[in-house]
Amino acid sequence: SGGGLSSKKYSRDFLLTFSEVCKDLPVGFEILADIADALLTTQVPSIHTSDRESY
Amino acid sequence: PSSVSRSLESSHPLEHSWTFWFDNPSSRPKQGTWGSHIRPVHSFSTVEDFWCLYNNIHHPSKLAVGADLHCFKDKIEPKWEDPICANGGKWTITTAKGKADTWWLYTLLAMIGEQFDYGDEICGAVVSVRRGKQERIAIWTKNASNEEAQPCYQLLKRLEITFWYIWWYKFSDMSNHL
Repeated sequence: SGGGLSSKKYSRDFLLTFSEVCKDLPVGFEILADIADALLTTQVPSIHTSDRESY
Repeated sequence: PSSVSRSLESSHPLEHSWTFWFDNPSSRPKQGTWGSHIRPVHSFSTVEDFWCLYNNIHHPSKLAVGADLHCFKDKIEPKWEDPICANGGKWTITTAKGKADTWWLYTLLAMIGEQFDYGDEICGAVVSVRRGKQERIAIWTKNASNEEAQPCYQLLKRLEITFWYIWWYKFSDMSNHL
């Protein structure tokens, strides 16, 4: 499996089989302090950059 | 930190990279423009990284009223002014009570698993928590004139929705009013 040339299609049932396996945040995950509490279920070190208005 | 793990060795790549964005109601200024406080959270391009993020993010039922959580293809900003979105629009469904968490997950899985017939037309999806804890899920598409490619009916089928409100909105209509 996984050797497809073009579209990588995955069914819902197939994707759901990974839900119990992948529990930890990805390597290198960073989040701004002002949204960490509102969004995340776990506590992670967050970045305090209230001045970083990059958009 | 113990909460950060190594990537799994054999990962399953997705067709596209995706980015979660979050608009936090508590950091939005009272007079602020809707969407002006939207922030990218993290990107993912494998099945495994999707779950690593999703499993650590609140489900819609746990988000504060006013919050918007987006999942958009990489390089597309969830703003109707984005050049890729500007000619498109959005399909919005109002979720039945208590169904938002499941419908949001199934919407995400259908998108990242490329289950829509016209997946290239899709920019991303957003779940919006509004007063009365009512949630809306919208799918943004690139080309509003391509009716065939609109994902609403496929989405409804995939969510196995039996009762819903749904409406279609073209972003060009919004720009005409400004």
